Amino acid sequence: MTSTRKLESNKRDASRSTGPRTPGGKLRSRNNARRHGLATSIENDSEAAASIELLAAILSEGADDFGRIEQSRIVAECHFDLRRIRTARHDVFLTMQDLENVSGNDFDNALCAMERISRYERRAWSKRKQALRQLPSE
Amino acid sequence: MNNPNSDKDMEVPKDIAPFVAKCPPLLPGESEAQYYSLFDMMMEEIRPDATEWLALADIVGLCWDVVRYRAWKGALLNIHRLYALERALRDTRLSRGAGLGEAPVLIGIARKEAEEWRTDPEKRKVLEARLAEYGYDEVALNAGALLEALVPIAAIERFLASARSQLNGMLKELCMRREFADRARKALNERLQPAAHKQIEAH
Repeated sequence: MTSTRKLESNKRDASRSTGPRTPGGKLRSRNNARRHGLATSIENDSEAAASIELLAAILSEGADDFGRIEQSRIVAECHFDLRRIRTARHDVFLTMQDLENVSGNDFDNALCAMERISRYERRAWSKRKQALRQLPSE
Repeated sequence: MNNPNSDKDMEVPKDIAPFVAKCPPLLPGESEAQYYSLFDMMMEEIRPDATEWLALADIVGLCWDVVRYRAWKGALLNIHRLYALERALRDTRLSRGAGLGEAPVLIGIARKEAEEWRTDPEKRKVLEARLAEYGYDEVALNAGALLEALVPIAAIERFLASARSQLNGMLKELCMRREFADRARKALNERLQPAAHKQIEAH
């Protein structure tokens, strides 16, 4: 068990360390825990936001029905989410591009990564399916 | 689903094209031409409208992934065939020098011999003769490879099954939407046409 003296010393040291201070350090450390970024909502992606709005407007075909606009936005979000997921999957495929020289270990790692990505994909498919069902067909 | 009435010059609507008709990032060895040819083929078959364009892009993406997973499966079997060969070669040595156990030196020798089997045709003949002597033929080696690769192959099969079921689900959804739209159109026509006739007659 950690002694009281050690605990106090740890607290003292921790109070001295307040993480990265420079803007560059803060920028780098922001991605420390990032693996594939798929857990972050696509709405937080400023680059995709404008495209989502545009696609949602196309899908709602200028309707003024709130329900239709909302469902169109969900479908558009899912579309970009799926595109992001596909890019993440492509990155995994890319690590295995030289199939003649990869090892069984490389395969294990790639399959684990694929498994993680699939979880997000299933959610996006299901969300989009629900939203598409709410949108009236032509 | 071959539509005999289809025009061959179908094009992606301009407003939706930037979202669906963009080639995704490709791997070395894959070509944009191949991707677009698959896209065009599916477009001609499905002839999408409105939101179906989004589904089309996903269907093409899924087909593309299925091909990639199949390549993985083939590569996995090749890797594990080599592992199975190593194991067989080690077994033949173990049977000759009983009592050596799984000495690391034997593992090293077997690995070297497996590499020679792959690269040196002369040595391959000698090794194959030795393997045959102990009952290892092509079938036995393939079975060994399959056994060694069982877990990762099962994982790839899961991905393949998931992609296929997603594909089927989307196609089913498309059919249902179209069928519903057809029935709704028919019902509307049946209800509206007599009403319109009555109005004309009244005037």
